[in-house]
Amino acid sequence: MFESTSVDLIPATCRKVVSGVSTDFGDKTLNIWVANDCWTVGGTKSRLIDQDMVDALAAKFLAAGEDNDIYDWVTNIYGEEWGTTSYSNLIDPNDEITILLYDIADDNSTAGGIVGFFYGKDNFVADPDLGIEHSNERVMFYIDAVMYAQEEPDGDSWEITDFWPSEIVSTLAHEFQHMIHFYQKTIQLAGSGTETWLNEMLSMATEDIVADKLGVDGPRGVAYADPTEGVYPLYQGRLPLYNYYNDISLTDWPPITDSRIYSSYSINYAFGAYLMRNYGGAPFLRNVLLNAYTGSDAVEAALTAGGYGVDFATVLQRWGAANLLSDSTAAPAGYRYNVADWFTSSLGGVAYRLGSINLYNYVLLLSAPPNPDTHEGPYIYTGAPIGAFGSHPPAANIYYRLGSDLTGRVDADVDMGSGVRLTVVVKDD
Amino acid sequence: MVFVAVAMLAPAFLGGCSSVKIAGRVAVKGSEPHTYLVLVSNGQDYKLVGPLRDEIWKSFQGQRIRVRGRIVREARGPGFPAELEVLEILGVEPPEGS
Repeated sequence: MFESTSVDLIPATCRKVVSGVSTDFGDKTLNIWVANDCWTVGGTKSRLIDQDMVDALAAKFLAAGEDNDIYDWVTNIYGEEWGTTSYSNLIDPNDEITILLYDIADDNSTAGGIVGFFYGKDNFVADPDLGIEHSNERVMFYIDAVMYAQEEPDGDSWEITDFWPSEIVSTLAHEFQHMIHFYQKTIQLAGSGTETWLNEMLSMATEDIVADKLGVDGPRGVAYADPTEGVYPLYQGRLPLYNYYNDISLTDWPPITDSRIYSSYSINYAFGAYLMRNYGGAPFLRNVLLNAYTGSDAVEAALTAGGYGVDFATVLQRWGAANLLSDSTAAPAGYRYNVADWFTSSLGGVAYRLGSINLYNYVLLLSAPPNPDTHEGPYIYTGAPIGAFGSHPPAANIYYRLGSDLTGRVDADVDMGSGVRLTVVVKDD
Repeated sequence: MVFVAVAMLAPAFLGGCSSVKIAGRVAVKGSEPHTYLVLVSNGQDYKLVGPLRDEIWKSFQGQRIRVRGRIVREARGPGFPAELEVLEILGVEPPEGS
């Protein structure tokens, strides 16, 4: 795990400059640097970057033309990535973005780990007294070179549509949200950092909303061009793991050394996916970012701005019901994951599409093949008496099946803790 | 060109500071892999450091607590708050507004 306290000095060479690209925020320049030990000539890693890979990455992020790259689609939602500020220890804007491809955590891994990151320290001047001494003084983010260079299957020719390259492309959108978030909310609006669950939720929501434009399947785990719920069984994306851990806290976030971090990512994707599909899509995301709040109040502010008269606790309840109703394409507004088609929204003249989701289609492998143990669909408790769940985590839903094939009047005594709300969903299967 | 990639910044130690008592809500902020634990007190963030940090991270997220500690690094700017070395967890406070 990436927990070194040392400073890593990364010798790198600039392999691509894309300059003078016209955008809604003026001409922009993209610089792509590659760590020397990751380069095709002289590199020592298990997979190496070549010029074709660099060129392909650049084309996905910033390309001549309108409405055709990550820069256009994501800034259209959230705004510009950097600009002037009132702080003397932050770098001046120069309309350049840098991507550094290197082996994050020096793990030489082609099978997961940290795929990329943005770190706001680079937006500070490199001054130990005024700023941050280890700043690169660039608007930049970091991408794992070894995973990006991983071909599929092993030994075949590399394509940007291969699994890990596709994940990297999606990660560009993810990290770009973090980058813009730092400027627009942390620096300009809030003056303080955002709670991690919310920041990561927005990044995964960004991956989701541009997936079909990028031509990657994204966190939904359904083919990007398929607007429907997909075809059972679905193993990819964030939702198989979410289903299994759908009762954890939405807002608590573990340290990076804790493997439960993957569950936290998954639940926050599921929540963001629900919010977008019910409360306005791209405009909703914009409204969450562009306010001065840094937690659940940011979501509430966005709901208010969109004209939805609901608070955070109410959307948590509705979201819970939406989980259970996701196999229906006729759920009422505010309770939808699935309409058998795209959820569409528009912002700044750009149309965005989100595919439908049926949580019951997703399968989590609990053990290795052959004949693995599996879990399918939302985790729903059965058999245990209601109330016997120990502590109820904050901002969490717990799902319990009271019964099946019930008819007539049903009575149940529910022993709930303070602050816990009960929602009853009746399904006619 | 040599880039600098930093996993965790070593704080400059301000020796000789007296301790303070601060109450606030525990939250995790930032984006992975550079998340940090804070105490949000009267609209100001204090990044929690020191040997009690992990216990607070594990046990008190979302809750209001009162701690005794000392400021070991001044704030650099938004997203890089002052660092509070927690010396003692004094107790859990009632939720704000209660």
